[in-house]
Amino acid sequence: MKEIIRLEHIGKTFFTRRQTITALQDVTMSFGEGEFVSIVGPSGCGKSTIIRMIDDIIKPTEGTITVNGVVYDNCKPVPREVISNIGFVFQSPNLYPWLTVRQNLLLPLKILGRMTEEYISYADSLLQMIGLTEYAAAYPREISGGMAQRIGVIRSMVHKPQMLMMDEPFGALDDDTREVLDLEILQIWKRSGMTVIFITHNVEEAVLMSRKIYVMASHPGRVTAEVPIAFDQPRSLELLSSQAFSACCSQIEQMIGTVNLDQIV
Amino acid sequence: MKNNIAVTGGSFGRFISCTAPAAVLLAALLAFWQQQCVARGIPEWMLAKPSDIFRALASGFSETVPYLANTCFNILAGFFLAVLIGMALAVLLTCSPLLAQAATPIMIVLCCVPMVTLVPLLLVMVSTGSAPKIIVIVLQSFAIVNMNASVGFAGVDHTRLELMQSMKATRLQQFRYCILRDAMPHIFTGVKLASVLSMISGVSAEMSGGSGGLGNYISSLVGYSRMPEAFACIIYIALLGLLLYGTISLLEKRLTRGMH
Repeated sequence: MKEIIRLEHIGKTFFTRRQTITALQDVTMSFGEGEFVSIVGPSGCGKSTIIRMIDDIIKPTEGTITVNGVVYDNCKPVPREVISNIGFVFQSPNLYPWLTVRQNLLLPLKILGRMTEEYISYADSLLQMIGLTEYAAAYPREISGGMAQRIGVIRSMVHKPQMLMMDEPFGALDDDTREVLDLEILQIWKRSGMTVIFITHNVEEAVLMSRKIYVMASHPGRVTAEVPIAFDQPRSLELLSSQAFSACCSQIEQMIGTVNLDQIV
Repeated sequence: MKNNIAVTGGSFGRFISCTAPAAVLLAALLAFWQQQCVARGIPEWMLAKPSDIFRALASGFSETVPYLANTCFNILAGFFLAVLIGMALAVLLTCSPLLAQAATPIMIVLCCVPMVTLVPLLLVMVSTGSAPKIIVIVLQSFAIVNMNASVGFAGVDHTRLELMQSMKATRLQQFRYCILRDAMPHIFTGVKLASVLSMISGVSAEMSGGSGGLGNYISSLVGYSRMPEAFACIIYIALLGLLLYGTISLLEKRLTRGMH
């Protein structure tokens, strides 16, 4: 598998007046083209920071990031061509309340100057795929949280990016809705061949979705394990009730747990 | 409450049901005023009767038009300039924290001082025409626009801005598609306050000296004891203020759609 994103010895230190906080320390990760990789870990371990660095929202203080062969310069903005190849799904739907659902969906195209018929009809087809075409003219406050989050997800793909960063996209939703949306994501991923980095603190969700999981620990944020997940594709919700699945989950949960216990002792 | 008064449908029915309570109260107050004037035999030069005022509204209109036009021009010109300057300055101050630090105390002072006190000085310095009035209106109103817009720009929702960054929007695009829209409610608070301040400072500037304008006209009408005409002018001013405020409110409704 060809490598598309590489993080090498990434560190992020915040300097406040009173103290120095090391948010990330020596993080090295690799993501193959078309791979679905999850990052799990306790809150505050810097998992969201990592994908924000890949999307050039935050700059690292140490280390190098390479995306599609382009090495990020830690002092200058990364070229637009590189970043416009990345979609970002936020923890909250993050729709603009002053725009309708469809206007929100088309916003990335407007920003990137891609308001062509081809892209617009692709956006409409995505809206149709998630079954929300009839809500196109509604304002975000008029639709439910689950619907809004789905719009947030497809908004990240309207410009046909090669890579997708997902920051705990369904963390705020109930378990049933989350599982349905997880599978929806898997379907989209398979069809599109995108590279997906999926942040979650829900281990089951991570195991269900990914080919590979990075386990992180906090204080300072660092990678403690890299676990390949070998279940067959395509995955379905039946996998959730299998024994191998729960074994895998508890193994990863232990990894997160042990590290934290060590710290307390 | 509005709904149980109106049983008839349609927007006209709704309009009637919304305005009826206010109209009834106003009519009652006017009737009381009229009745008291007649019953106590209050002379016109002391307090004009509503019936006389209405007569003056109709008969004195053509006489008032030039003054009304002058006031309209002063206030609208001053108000638009104030909004323009206030907004432009807010953008500038948001870009430069140092400049913001330097300018903020001045802005607060401008908001606190009644600028109408400048009129006598401006009459000497500039001219007796519209210029001193427009200057007073701008000085009185632009700071409040600037302060509110600055608060809106600075308080832009962090994740909304991150969305812009994730799409690699340019600074101009960030401003146009996110910051400006996010700040709209704050901006309109400032603009509405500015419209009120423009009305107050504009008319008081006209009353404090120089020539032209309704404020000036009212002063001279009172000098000749033409109280009904003076009241009629006040009604014109009230209508002008309502029209300005109403237009801004309508614009606000359009531009902040979906936000509340």
